Amino acid sequence: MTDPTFPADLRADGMLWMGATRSPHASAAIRGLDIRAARATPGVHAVLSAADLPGYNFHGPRSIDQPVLAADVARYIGEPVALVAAEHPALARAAAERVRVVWDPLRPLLDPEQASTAPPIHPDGNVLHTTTLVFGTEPGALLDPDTAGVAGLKVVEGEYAFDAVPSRPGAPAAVIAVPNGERGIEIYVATLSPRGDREVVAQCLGLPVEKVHVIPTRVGGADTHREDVGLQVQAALLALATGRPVKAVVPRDVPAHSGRPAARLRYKHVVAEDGSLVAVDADILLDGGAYASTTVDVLDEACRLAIGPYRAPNVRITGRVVRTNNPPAGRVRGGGGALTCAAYEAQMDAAGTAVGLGGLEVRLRNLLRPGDLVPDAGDPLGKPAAAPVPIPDCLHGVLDTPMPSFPPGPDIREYPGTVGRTGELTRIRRGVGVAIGMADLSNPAQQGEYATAVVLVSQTPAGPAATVACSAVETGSGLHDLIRATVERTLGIPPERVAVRAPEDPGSLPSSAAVTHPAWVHGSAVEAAAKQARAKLFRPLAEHLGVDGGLLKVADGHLVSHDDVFRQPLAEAYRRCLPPGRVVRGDGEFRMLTMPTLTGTSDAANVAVGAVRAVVDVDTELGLANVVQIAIAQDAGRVVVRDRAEQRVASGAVAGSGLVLSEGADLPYGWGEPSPMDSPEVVVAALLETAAEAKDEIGPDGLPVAAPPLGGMKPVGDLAVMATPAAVLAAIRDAVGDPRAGSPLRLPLRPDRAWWVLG
Amino acid sequence: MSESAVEWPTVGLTLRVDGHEYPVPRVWIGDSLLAVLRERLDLDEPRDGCAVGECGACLVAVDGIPAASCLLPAVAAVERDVRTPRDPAFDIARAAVTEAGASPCGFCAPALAIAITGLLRRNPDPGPAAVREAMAGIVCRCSESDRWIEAVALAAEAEAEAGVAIQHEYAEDSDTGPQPDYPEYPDYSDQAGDAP
Repeated sequence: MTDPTFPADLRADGMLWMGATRSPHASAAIRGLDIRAARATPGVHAVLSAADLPGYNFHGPRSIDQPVLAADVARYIGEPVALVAAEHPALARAAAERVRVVWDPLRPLLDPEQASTAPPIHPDGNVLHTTTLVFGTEPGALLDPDTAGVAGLKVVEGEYAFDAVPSRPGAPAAVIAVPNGERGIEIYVATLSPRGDREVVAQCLGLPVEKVHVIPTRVGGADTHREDVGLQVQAALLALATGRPVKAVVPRDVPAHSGRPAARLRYKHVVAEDGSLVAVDADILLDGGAYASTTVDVLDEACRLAIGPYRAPNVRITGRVVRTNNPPAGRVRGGGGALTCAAYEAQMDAAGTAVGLGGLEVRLRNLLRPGDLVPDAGDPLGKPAAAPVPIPDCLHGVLDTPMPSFPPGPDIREYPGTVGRTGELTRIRRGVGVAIGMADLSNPAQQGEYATAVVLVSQTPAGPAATVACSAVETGSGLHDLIRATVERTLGIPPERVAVRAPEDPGSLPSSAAVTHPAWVHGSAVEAAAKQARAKLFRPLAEHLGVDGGLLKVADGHLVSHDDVFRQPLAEAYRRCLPPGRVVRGDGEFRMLTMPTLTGTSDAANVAVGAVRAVVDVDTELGLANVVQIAIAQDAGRVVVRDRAEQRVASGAVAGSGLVLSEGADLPYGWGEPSPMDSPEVVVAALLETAAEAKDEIGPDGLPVAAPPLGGMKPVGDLAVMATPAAVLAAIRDAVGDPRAGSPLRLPLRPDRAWWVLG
Repeated sequence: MSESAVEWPTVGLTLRVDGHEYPVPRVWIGDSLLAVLRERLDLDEPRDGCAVGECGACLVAVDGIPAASCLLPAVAAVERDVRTPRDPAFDIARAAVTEAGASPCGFCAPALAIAITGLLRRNPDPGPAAVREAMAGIVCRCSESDRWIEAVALAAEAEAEAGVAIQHEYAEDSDTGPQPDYPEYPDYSDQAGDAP
């Protein structure tokens, strides 16, 4: 298998299907397990439970606390307890239903507020992690409304609650495990981290790591994070037990992997009469669900990004992530800032109202500039923000975008509610809201990442062509396009003649752990490989010129020397240096050190900022909101494939409008993601390129390392996911006024929760 | 479920897919058309996204009309004309999807080609709202609808150039039937609310 494939599209001769018996209880002890009826089902080849697992039953990206199969207790609805391998998916399902589990239901812990006092659901307790970030004067001293009033200060309080959102990728999570005799077991999966998964699978199966081969299929299907290695272990376990290939597909009604955590945020902003921020006190509580997954990282990031891109001299941020009997949560699209942006921006609007200046004016008076302190986990006193912080440019970009016309229509499908339950013109109000988001690039929990790539160049009748072997997974973010563009820039080979393939020996090579910054890490490895190939390829010419091959570069369809003295059309250079039959190979690797190593010496915090303007039509009777247009401008660092970057930003804006209006945990199969009927027109007003090209810097171990500012890497798309909900919320407030004070603002803001209808 | 043996009735059937006759022996009567196309005939487009009719990734054309193949029993597709996204009839739409960058990860691309072709058969020149409505059954998590509208426009142009015929027989009961192609409210302009 060399071409990228969706894992669900893979098949093998004699393949069996996995079915899983899952817990119907949020919390229940397992008192017994009877598999006889399931085993007797025709077409069933194996029924296994935790007792059949030869290795270690637990895995997890940070804390090793999640069982492959629940052994004595199940901690959330849908947790797998037993596995079936059968000849047909329906038989596997039927057999899984016939596994008889003797359940002893326990009182589930579902409210994260009660987690710290409730009986522990894990031996190490329910509070998974706490974070405190403080600088300046303790805000508590400034927060007493009586004293604050005397000093001419206003205290703005707010509470915000986000529902959890289960992870439901477009393409289902799927794994195929193939036993291969002496070689061991091969696992085909759209993982982003084959090396890490391999070690976990080997440990859980009790196999030496050489016997496990995790082969990335390299197209994922619309989800950036696919980290539940448990599914790989389950499929492999069945494959080893039956001696046949086993395909496992997670059905739509159970969480494929950890989703977005529920969050509750309490804020107090102290603001002076002139609109300047005096202090911010934030308290963040995340519901991590039954297992740790990556929520600790999410919490830390949310705390660092709790006040947004604003100057605040006195800050106290406290955060907690707790365990409950809800499905496991983890990584969040848009990062931790996606949990805080809507809340801190609502606070800025409320502060604007409190001092009579308006939200935009208060924002402008407090905008973060390079050198201002931002909360930082590595430094209790905060760190100064590194340049650039181009918020004004972003604001200009979105405010200069032409407004859509009002009223909507005459086609009623342009009204809130579209078809079926449509708003009417007489009760439609339009609002406009602006929000600013900030992402930080110095995550102290960042693990080291490593990627390798091979570039092969050969002559074809159509001209020189390249094959790139790397384990980069395309999840819809344009990573493969970026790899092709990188080869084109380095070697001058057009993208249509660049094939992206799996490593030649997938058993030994896929060693990438590029999970968080795949574009940067894989792109850099491919660039290094392409440069080596270029140096080898044109060595004959370079020797003729008496220079090193590495000094020849491709520019404007020409091969040029570093000093621009030598200049030859690329076609001619290829004809001279690449006779048919010659294959030139370049190897490249890229290692990103752990973030403390990377930024520990840096005195500044690198941030990325973006601004969003939302135009929303609201129906005042039905509670419907229609996001008409999203305009977004952001600092994009370095843009390699502009079209894909714009696409990523626009898709983030659509996701963001879904997060604030429709996505939630209570939709059984549901998407909640805006359909094309609901999704706004997205205008990408500006992608600012603020970073120079990454430097080629060699570390002490002889490998290229990234030099701050992180090679121009900025999270394209995250800022849209983060700031769009805030802007939509601001636009709704602009249209229909503020919600009544006192009760928390609960998001997503579906019609049944719309304050302007309830009030 | 009782302890008795699982009943597993199967039937042999012949499907006409993309103009070829495929005899398929021993098909479980509960199998969907999608399952047979994918698992028995190795046709990976349509995709299996949700298997419950929510996501639209499994669209095929049955007797010329887009249908969610995960909801159609295979036995009900016998003697029907089933066209998967690989059929040349959808080539123009596929090319338009690629050109517009309408499916970043590629998972929904085959379904988009079917939906676009189906829409253009009913309405050769759909407006943005008509496109949004026609595509609303496909839930994509990585694109935005502007690119889908662009893809439909590109496909419409290419089909007009190629002189593809429009099937009027079911244009009438569709949302986008004769003029005007959208439902419209009476004119409220004299009592309109406050414009911003």
